[in-house]
Amino acid sequence: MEKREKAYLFFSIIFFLASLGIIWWIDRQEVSKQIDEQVQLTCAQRKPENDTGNKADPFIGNEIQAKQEMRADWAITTKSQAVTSIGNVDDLIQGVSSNNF
Amino acid sequence: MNSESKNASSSKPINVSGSTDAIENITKISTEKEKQFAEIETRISKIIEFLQKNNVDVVALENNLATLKSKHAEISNLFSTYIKALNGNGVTTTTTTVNSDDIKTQIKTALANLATFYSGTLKISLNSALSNVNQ
Repeated sequence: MEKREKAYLFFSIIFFLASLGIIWWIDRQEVSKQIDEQVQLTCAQRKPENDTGNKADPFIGNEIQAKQEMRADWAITTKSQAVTSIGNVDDLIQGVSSNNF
Repeated sequence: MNSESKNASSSKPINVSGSTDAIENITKISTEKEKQFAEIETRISKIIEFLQKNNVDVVALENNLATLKSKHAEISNLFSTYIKALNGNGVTTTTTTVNSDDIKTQIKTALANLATFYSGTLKISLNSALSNVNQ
């Protein structure tokens, strides 16, 4: 086999392996995305809008975590805040006790 | 695209025992639930602090919160065992081998127990204690 043919063969193999790697990576991304969606559905809960406000529309997933992390402290200073917080705990319990898996 | 991802794209839950995707799915569910438990316990602690500041007796509530935490710990352990069982073909105990379906059933039961405890005991105690606050 000539040197040039060997080079063609070598690069063909590299290209083939790289293509396989890319296909695998794209597939994993897709699977991971689908799993995230499934987890969000499984752990669905209502959004506690804030400690003093009314309950907001239900939504699910990473957005909840982001909002929760923004409010690391759920300090309560009034009775109405405590009542609202109990409502939020109700929703969280509903979410955490869901067992759709 | 493999069959698991097609399965996941529907509204039905992924249920491929032992597959990498099933393990990843359960791991993520467990993590999500841990975050929710953390918020629940923090929120209840804050309510108890508020009640204490208003001179309300919170001994029963503190005991209830401790019970809730123990149920949370039990569920966390079950999830951990479930993931181990999915990784292997079963978890060997001193007397028997537990398969993943058994653990899954235990998790569902434990979650239901926790919800029942909250709605039947803890929530009632919270509302009762809160009714003693004049604001």
